[in-house]
Amino acid sequence: VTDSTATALHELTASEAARSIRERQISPVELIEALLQRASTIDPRVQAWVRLDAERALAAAREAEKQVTSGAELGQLHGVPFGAKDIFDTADLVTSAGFSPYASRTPAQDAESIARLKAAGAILLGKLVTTQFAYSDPSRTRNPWNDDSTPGGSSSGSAAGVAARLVPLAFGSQTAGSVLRPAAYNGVVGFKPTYGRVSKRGVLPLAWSLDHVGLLARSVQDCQVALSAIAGYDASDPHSAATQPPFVAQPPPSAPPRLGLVREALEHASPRLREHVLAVASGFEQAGAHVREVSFGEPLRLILAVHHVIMQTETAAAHWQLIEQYPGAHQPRLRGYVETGRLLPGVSYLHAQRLRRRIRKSMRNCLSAVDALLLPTAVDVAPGRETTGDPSLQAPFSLVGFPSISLPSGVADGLPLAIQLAAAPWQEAELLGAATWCEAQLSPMPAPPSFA
Amino acid sequence: LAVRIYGEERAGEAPLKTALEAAAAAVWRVSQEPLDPAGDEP
Repeated sequence: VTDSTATALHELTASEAARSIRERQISPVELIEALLQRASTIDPRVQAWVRLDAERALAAAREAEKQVTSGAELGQLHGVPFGAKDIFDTADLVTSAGFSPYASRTPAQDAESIARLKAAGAILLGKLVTTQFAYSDPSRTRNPWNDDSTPGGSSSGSAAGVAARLVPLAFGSQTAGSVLRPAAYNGVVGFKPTYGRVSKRGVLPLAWSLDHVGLLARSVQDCQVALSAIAGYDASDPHSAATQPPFVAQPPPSAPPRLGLVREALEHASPRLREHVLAVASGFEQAGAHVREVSFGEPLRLILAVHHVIMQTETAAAHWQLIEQYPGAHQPRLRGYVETGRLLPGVSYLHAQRLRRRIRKSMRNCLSAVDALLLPTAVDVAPGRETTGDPSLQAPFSLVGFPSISLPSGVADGLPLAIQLAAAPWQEAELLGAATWCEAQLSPMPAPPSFA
Repeated sequence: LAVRIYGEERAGEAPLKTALEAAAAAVWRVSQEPLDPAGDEP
């Protein structure tokens, strides 16, 4: 593989790579080789990969190449490399969740979402750095746009790896804002489907009723293709929705969407993000979108308090035994969160769950006259590396389980800006349709300057 | 409260104090929101 070929290959989105492989313009082997070569030169700085599975990825690519040349029927993502946050179980490949006692924890089976993506022809290239157990203690990963800025978390490696062109597609997970916020900070697309849409079997839990499987990619189209592969009921996951309507990918919409600008989110954002989102909304309006102001119907502070009580209680319930079993192995923020979470009254948790139902109803009403909500993804650009950032504007959709997506929408002071869209439950096709329209109005996000 | 639960040595740890303060604020905010006692279960 020559340097010039490698440069072109690592820039391909997942959909472009799939099409190029299907049309025999590129080989899955040369694509994997190009990304491995890039990892060896770029990743010592970004530190997105926690472990590559080079041998098996190359073997799978050789097999994929044979299938292409034999004229076999090919999956939608045939030969396309992907990465997975290191809380997703991978068969015969260590899954350690950033937790040293799990340094040699090797699952026998793939997580269901990984198995489904592989069944569509995709090839697992390796595991991406997560903050410990997907909580908020910062990881070692760097933001490819600026070494001194956080890549966000908890899907730090997934977002930074996709942004740095180390891999075109990656799994992340979101309990508060861990897919969309890193996506925003790194200038990539981050997508979280409806709660229950994608199986969580084989994904290590943080807080059961809030954890979502999500995707990081460089186009809305990639999220649509990947969701087609991984969506659907899974009887082995108690949180999987048995009665969900099927996800059917739609062609791009012919009409501009109706968008609801969320008042509470704009008030909560920094002046820079507020002005940016208002400018983006104005551009959408000029392009034909119908934009109106809407309200969550509940105070944002209440929504965040309800999310906090539920998440902390469930995290404590999921992790307190591990803290006792492995004293000193947890990062300080997670440890403090679990230890204090054990003190939260059961009455508060149940009251929060009742309020959650009311909030879900209010937010559903907020969507009654629009196709999607429009708001900043994050309150501001990526802050420093001592934090993974503020989840205030992503967490409401984790609480209610509605699908949401972050699109890169500009650059300020050398760091990416992003808008967020959200829709009613099970309306992923409509959300992705609106996102495709919005994406087409925005300038394409370039690679981070140091990694172009 | 932190001293009583975690002892002098650990009560001053910043992550513990931060988590405790955030939890107390969230529990308080949730408790300020009345619901119909005869209303739906969660």
